[in-house]
Amino acid sequence: MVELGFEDLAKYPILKEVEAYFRERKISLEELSLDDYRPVLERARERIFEAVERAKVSYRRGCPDLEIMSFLVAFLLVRASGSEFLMQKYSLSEARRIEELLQGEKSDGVFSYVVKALGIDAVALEDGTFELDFDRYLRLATRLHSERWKLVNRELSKGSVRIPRRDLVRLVREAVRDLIYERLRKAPAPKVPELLKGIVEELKSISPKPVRRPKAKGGAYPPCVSHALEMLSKGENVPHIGRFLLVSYLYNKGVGIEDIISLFSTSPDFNERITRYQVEHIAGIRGGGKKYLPPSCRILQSKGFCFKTEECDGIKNPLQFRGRKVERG
Amino acid sequence: MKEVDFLKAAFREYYFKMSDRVEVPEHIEEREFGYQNFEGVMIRHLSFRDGGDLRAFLLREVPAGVYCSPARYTDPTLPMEEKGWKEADLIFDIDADELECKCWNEYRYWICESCSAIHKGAKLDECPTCGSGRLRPVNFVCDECIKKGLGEVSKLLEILKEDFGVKEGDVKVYFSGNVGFHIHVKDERFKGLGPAERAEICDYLMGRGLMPEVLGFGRGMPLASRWRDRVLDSSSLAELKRMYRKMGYEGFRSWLERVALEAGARIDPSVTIDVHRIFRLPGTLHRKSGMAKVGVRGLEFDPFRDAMPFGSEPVRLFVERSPRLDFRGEAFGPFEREEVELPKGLAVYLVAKGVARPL
Repeated sequence: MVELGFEDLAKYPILKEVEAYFRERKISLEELSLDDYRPVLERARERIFEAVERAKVSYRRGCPDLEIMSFLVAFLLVRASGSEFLMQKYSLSEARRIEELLQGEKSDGVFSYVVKALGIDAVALEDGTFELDFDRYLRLATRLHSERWKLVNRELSKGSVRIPRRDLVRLVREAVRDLIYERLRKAPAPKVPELLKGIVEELKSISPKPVRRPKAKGGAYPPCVSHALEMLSKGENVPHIGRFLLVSYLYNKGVGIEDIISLFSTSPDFNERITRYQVEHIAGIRGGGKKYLPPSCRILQSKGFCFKTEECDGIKNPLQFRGRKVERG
Repeated sequence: MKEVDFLKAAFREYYFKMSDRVEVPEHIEEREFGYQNFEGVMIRHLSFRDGGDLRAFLLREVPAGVYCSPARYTDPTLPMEEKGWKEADLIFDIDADELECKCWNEYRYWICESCSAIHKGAKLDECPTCGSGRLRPVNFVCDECIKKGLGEVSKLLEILKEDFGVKEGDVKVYFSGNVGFHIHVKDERFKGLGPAERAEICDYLMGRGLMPEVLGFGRGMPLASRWRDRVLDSSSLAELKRMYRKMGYEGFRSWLERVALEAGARIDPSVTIDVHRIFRLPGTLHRKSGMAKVGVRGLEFDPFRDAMPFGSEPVRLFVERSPRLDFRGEAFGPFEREEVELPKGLAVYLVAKGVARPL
């Protein structure tokens, strides 16, 4: 059994021990309107703004009380805002903070404890790598877009996947993100005291404007493209295949690069430089100069991104979609 | 139509006399059932309380095909979005029909829906008799196809066992009733996985997306991976090096995927990925053959012996055209536009294939 210090709880405030810590201190939003708690409130607000602006929350070493309390307060504020965009962004940004801390975690005991607490049964091997069950691996790794995460490019034997510590921590990020997001979604909306209403209103206002759907030539969008746009406008994380579909489809339908890039600005992990590079690559402006066509219906289906309706009958590629069939009478 | 009446009578006889061969799935009340009638209409979103309920239904409806969901739902009769998906067994479909087989010229027919002419051999775009484009393929079971299909099955089982650690007792192999094999895996670790994870499993089984790095080419260290071993079993390291030098990274990568596909299992991924699918119920009959979906043991299989429930009593029929078929140790045909007397099992088969009519 590892001894967890306050500093450990501050680093990994998703641990259940933190809940006990809060229960003991009986913290509620009402109490926070007192001046004593101002620094906590400020730090909580800072956490959220770090999330929005840099998609990563920082860590302040040496003030565990402030860190632990501000984590919970930020959580409550994000929940109170009711903004899907903020919930996604905040979950990701706290998860990236924990990822970095875990990457540099000196204590093997604490490392293993945190990983296990997230429901990941990883067995440490003598050579410093880890083994985990393939189903657990798949649930976390399927949303990572790089090919090296494909199961086929991993060592799989008798149901266990062997991965280096770095990669395990990257998976832990996904687990933390899920955990925080799910907790946010399930938490009842807190009653907001008068003094905090200003911050909550401010948070509500920083949600991105609804996505303006670019006008594509040829009328209606096929259901898969609509689905991707829908996810974006809710601030949800669109999987790789959906992003690729969206960019290649819109570009082939004559939508401009800038309009396409701005679509992704609501994405929780938006980074304009990287998005621009990827969009231009698909458009054939960069890289091999090859302009990509959208993936075929068969591929979309195999990747679980086909939402076909009757109107899709007979098409093999989303580009062929023509919308409602005209009845000839 | 006489053919349909004949088949329906045969199916009714089967469900009356041999309904104990129909496998009642575990948690039957949480499964979605569907069936196709002899008019070709598909009805879904049904459920049954228990095996008795199911058998009574089979006898009453005499369906042309019966399907059951590998998934369990809170309420299987509701529309898909409201069913409440709980979990699904992992299933695979290996279509022997998709594997290139030298028998194709002998055992693949094309029936013209316009003029009813029957042609033999490679794929036709239009009917040589009347020029119509409405051609329906008919595939006869052939030893070679069955062997090839079973070869893919055994590759699949090997990977499931060695790589995924699936226990032998958790896997059941079935002959689909026509020209393929179905594999059902009851292993807790797969049950909760969604389409994205199942797609990854399919890619793994087929070696799709295998990177040269896994074998030590490009950047990175080779992995102690079973896929690496599998590729090295079919090509030497020296050959791989030669190909890499010759083709460059991208070319080598595509080549590697082709090598991997040979070593992997040729499954139909869309069947495995779709967690809402309904899948032929073991022990029920196939409309296109009159045979039952039955378990395969020891990877040795003769469809007419093991899956055809109808016997040897003689039936007179007119055969439009058929290849030579071995029925329980005896050869019949080829026939062309002739009246013959055949054992009932074979008669049902030829009528189901659409190349013969009872007299």
